Amino acid sequence: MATPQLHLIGEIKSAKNFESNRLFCKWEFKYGKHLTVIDGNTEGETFEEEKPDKETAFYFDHPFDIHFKVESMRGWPKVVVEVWEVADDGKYFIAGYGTGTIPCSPGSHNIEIKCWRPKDQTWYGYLRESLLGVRSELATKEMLLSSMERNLFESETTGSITVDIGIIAKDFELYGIKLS
Amino acid sequence: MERLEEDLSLGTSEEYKDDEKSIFSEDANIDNPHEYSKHENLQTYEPKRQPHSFFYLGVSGQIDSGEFNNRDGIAIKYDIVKGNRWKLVKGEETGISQHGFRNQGASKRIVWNFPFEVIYSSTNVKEWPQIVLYGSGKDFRGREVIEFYGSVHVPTAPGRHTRYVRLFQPVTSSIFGKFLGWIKGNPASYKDAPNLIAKGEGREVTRVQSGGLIKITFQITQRNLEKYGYKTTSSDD
Repeated sequence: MATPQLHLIGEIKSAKNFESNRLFCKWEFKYGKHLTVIDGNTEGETFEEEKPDKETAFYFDHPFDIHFKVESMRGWPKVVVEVWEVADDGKYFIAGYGTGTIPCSPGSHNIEIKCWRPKDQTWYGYLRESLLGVRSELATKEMLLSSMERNLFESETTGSITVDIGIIAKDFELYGIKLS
Repeated sequence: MERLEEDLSLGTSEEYKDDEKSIFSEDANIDNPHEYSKHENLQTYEPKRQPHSFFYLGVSGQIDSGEFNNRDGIAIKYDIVKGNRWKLVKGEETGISQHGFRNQGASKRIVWNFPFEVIYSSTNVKEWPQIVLYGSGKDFRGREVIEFYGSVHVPTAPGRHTRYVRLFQPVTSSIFGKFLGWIKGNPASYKDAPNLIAKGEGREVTRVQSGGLIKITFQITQRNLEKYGYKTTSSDD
């Protein structure tokens, strides 16, 4: 019998409400062990884009076209984004982490991934960041995907990333699965 | 009247009268790859059987308008890029619009209203078509120079869709490079443009600045995708 197949076709569209004027985004599709990628890149980095102050959003329009073979409903794909900003002296700092779940139902969707970054909220941490330029990053990225304990650090909200995605599903009804 | 184009019609009324015809009737024109009989159109999806015909994707729409920050007199060229399994049945895959200038009033909008219509046939959904846009203007000496690039996937669900595409310009890292580009009429441009833009490869080492925002309206129709088992939309028919 035919194995169900899933196609994810779309773009990493835009980044909104970030403070910086120079940004790029590293994106990756994470999926469980019962899904196999047949074709397409599941990770990439967008352009480094600089924008003038008066515009409100960055538009990356980074295309992706991924073909999965699906053997279990556990481990449906998620998209993990890391947004990096470039300071004036050329150093890279993290501007946000975010995770978005890919919808199950076929059709055109627009998902918005709201991002956060770790930030020490004490006055001591604030001085370190503004005077010395010390910024925090995550050491282990697995906590972005799982619901394991996040060690109670502090974070602040930054902007959001939008992803335009079209989902084409094949043969899920043969196994009795209703996706929509 | 003789039909000179390929006949994609669903069959004439004479075929409905005879119920004992087999699927492959004798007078079927097997040489025409788009020929199939109405029997296959009525069959339900059977995963083990390879369909006799292709599925079709009709993409029509227009490049409506755009807004550029400080540029005027832009012509849009489009190119439809797809995988090698997709075959063009009808339509033009590339086209160049007129040079549009904005109204002298306060609005920054340039309107082209440039239509496109293509029909593709394929057997697999992967490497879905994308529209790659190039924006070109005339430089100070009157030469036509491509300055802006952008791309978007054709929407996968049937129906009417509006997409906003950003056109971006690559940035040279040195001021001298920018000056040379301005003099020679050859600003920083991409050597391998369709791959870089449509496939998204090699983007991590390039820097861009935003150019303009283009509005495109799509009207997507699909035929026979369900015979291949593909579900592209959640709404029931």
